[in-house]
Amino acid sequence: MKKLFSIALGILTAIGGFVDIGDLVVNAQVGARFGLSLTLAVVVGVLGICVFAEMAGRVAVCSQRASFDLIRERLGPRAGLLNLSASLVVTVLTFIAEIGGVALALTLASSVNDLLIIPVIGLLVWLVLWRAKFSVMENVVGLLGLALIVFAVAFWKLGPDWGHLAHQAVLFAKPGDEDWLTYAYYAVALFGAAMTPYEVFFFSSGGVEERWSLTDLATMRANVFIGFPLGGLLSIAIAGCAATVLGPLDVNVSALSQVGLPVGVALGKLGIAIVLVGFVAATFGAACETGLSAGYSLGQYFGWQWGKYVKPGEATRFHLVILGVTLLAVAVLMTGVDPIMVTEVSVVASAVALPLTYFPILVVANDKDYMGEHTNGRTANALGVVYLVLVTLASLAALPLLVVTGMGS
Amino acid sequence: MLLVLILALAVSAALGGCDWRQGTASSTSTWDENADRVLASFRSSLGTAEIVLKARLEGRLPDAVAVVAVRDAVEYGDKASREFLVASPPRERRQADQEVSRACRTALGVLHVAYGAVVEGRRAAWSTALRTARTELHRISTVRHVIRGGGE
Repeated sequence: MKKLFSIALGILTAIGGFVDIGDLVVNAQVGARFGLSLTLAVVVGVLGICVFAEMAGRVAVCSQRASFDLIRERLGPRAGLLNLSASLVVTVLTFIAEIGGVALALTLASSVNDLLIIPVIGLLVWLVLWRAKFSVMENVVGLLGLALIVFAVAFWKLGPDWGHLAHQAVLFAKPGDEDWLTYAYYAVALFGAAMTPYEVFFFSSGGVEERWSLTDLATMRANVFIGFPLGGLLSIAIAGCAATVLGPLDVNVSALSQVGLPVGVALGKLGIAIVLVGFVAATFGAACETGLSAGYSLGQYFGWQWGKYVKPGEATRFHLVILGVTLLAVAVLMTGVDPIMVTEVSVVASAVALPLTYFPILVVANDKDYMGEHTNGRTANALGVVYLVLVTLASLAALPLLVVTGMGS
Repeated sequence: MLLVLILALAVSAALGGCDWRQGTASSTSTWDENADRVLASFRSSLGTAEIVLKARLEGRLPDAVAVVAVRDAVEYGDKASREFLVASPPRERRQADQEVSRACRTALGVLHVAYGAVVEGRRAAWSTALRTARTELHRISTVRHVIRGGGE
């Protein structure tokens, strides 16, 4: 019974924790402009993150060691540093975007200017990362993030033309007034948003923090293969809501306030109250995950004591890194930079960095010295290689598409 | 570090790219592109205002969300308008430029009225603002259609 509860809790928190500011913004933008014609990019991205999260989780279970530590040992300090730099840049950008996202969500609930809220959010995130227990933090924000299921309810309640949406999704029916380059840019952005590297590193570092053993393999796989795809369905529901309410009026999603409007249209004030809880939980949870991931990556690479299962006094450099990136995020956001723009940049940066972050995981998961009998099988390797090709193509295309399309404008 | 540098260059190129397009118009095609973009921005802002005002009339949106959503729509339109208005049009697009600029100013005024109505919180004001927003949305779409059809 306890095991069943643990699996159910893991799946629920994986669903609730899957969506972050990048998924919220990009899926709504894409839904409003392209309907569901880019659904395949979300599906491919979600399957990709399942493949690599399962590998990284298995590495954590089998070796009891964290990703960056193993990557540095297996590939050497230089390759490890490249991997670290790519992941860290994307993670810090995402962290800034998430803190900005929490501020925007609270602004939406209170009408208070986000610049007044940002320092308070920074302080709260830092306090949670410093004081709160890992499991409490993960479970509370993950479960509250389930409030975003309201998008699926709203989508159903809006009663769209299901046949038309299915036609768009299956035949990749790009709207006639959009060009292919913009379409490709958003496909890469969606792919980057779904495969954000920090999710995999946080997932595997969390496994080390929670001291997963071989008996936890089934729970870990259930989280990944059930929780993540259900989280991906939420992304599609967000796009569907935007396609139904915002699309017909040619609304271009440029603010978080527009993302929640379809829920209000469908479900009224109660729906809006639930979606606001979901926005705050999703962005706050992701801010905690990215803040920790920044500390994890540096701590693991340099061999410092890291993690929340040791007292802060025993992992001072780890906590200093978290404090440093929190101050940096607050400072950047206080310049008045638009958090939505930071989000858009972060998902494209994520796409650029994908091969550098995922290739080493594939290498380590194939090393019998670390993995023993749980080394990658044929299926895992075939999927891993296919995805390496895909992430390399996305990575090469991301920057040229960003420049040519003026960030999809 | 190399990755950071490449990323920073790419982002600044992309953002800078927006700026050249919004700067002095050097060709009719650039002006057409900028005019289409600003009109699309206003269509988006007016569409947002329409959704908010309609939902507000039906009692589906709380005050705070309505106020922030329309304020965001005003800011988006205002930014697009400022970027468009700084550019000088090419000779053959001067008349069209005046028309687009006038449409932008009117649409911005309508958005400000919508914002005022939402802040004020009176049903009658929402109804009036909704009607005006719909009319303006239609007008902006017509101007955009004309511009897309080859300008003057």
